[in-house]
Amino acid sequence: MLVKMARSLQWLLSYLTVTMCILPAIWLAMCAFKTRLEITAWPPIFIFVPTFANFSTLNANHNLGLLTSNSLIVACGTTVFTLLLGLPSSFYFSRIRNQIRQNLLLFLLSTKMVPLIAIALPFYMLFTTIGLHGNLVGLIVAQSVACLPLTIWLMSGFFADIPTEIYWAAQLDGLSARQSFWYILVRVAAPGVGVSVIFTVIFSWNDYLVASILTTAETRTLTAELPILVTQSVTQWGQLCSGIILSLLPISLLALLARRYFIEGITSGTLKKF
Amino acid sequence: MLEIKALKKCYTTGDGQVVALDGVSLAISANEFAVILGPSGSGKSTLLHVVAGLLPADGGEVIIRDNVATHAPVSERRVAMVLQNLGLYPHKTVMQNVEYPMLVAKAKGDERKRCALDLLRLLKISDLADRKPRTLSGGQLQRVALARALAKKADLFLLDEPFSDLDAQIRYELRNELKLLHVSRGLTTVLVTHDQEDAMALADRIALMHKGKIIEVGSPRRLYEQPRTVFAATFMGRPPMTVFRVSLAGRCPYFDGSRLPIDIADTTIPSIEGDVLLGLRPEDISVVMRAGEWCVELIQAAGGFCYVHLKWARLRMVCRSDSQTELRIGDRVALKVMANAHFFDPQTEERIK
Repeated sequence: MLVKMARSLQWLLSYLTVTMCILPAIWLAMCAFKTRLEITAWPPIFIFVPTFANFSTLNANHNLGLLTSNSLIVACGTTVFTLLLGLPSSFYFSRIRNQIRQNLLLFLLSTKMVPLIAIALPFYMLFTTIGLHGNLVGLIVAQSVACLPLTIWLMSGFFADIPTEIYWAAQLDGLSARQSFWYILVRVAAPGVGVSVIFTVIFSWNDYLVASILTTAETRTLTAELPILVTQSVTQWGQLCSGIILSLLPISLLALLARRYFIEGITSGTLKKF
Repeated sequence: MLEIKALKKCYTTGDGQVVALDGVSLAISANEFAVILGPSGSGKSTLLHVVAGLLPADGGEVIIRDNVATHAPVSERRVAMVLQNLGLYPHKTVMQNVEYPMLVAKAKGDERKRCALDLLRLLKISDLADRKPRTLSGGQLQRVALARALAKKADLFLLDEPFSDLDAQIRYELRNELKLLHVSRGLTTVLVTHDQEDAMALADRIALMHKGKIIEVGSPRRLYEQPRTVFAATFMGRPPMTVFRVSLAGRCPYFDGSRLPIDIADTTIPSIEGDVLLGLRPEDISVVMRAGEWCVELIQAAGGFCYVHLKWARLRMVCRSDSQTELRIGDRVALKVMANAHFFDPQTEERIK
């Protein structure tokens, strides 16, 4: 009896948590298809005729194509740049087995504790001087700097779990040390790489702070553009919601596709036997 | 085929430097089966890793097929190796694992497949071709690793403790197959093991290692019958040779002041006076069924024969006897040396000629 009650309580709690997380998103999605009057109506309306007006107005007032492609370029660029730098350095970290490694890793992680604005502002000053402000490359570099510590932290754990023998075996099979790393070790650590990719893409895509500081109108990303709809006099709720829904779509799709990797990656890190 | 000259390797650990290889020199000729034998921590695995190029040497030379390869990267050494923990690729199937060296060597697809399948058949694992390593047993994994190493065109075939995790039956089978493979494929093999039985069964020549040095090199028979050092004498043979200090006076051994009650032929005792180390193998001593001074402490069956543990004064001795023996614990018997008694210098621990 007691066990049964405990089990129901568990279910209840988990459903409650999921609902709490998902409710704002559902509300948001509904508002995206409502007219302005329906959005502000009180008591709130749950049954209504959906309209695509918000989307078409948004598209007419903002260059959605450019914004999305900027966002895509930056997300992909940040991911590639982060992995290119992060994977080899995390491998290096995983091979040193002494106090230095611990200290370096801790130092890397401590940069994550600094508020992002403390990194974004120096970048703004630096990039305006060297002409990278308002440039997608600049944004990619800045976002990569923000993403690297976590990637290195995560991946050095994954690489440390791979026995040296696999690295050696690849070299004995005729690969050079560099090839052994990129062809074999990175592949064996794929669940970790998957998790890193997801984290980086999500960060980059959702980043507002760095993007709003380092971009101009031509290089603005989707996420950095949306708050423009909130002005002092009026907030375009309908357009804002439809914009958010649009910006959510690709990231949700990615999360859905990479779900298997993600679960495997966050659970297998330390337990996997080779 | 392989020449190792004054090879040195040190490790830095928390408590300072550990010398893993202390000037190791060894030459191995083509088609030879060499076994590097030694207790754990003797540096034998390190030696193999340095030869393969997995670890850099701190001094000395590695010459493979007349080319100095001391600083060459692994991939340029034409060396195939089975690592102790195998290092099979967990994300590839057995077939893909075995194919991989050929893939790297840019062999054609169908030729690769055929070759890999031949190897799998040779090692009797063709039915496992589509399985992932994690689903296999220890013996099967070992076979896959062997097949993968054989798939590479190499001058040298190195094996690091290939049987260490296997149970006795599979170990025995795989050992025989390995020897057959060595002969049929004309390999030059260097195998590292701590098991003297494996070494005896496989080797054309054994190099005995201890504390980063090669103590002795020789055929298994020579090492067993005429060990030049106490270390070799006690390391080869199970149960080990009993070695104890006696003093010789007029070709007669004394232990603790009294005459050693073992019947040893005068001619085998060196004509020197003073302290020596006397070594006796269990199989070289036999029990004489008459009242003597040795007391039977324990009798251990071992199949067709048994080991009798004996005691006299504070000296203990093991000797081999046939299993039909009428001995009982507490019996008093005499001992006779049937073959060689080994004499060593107590200072240098080297054999006295």
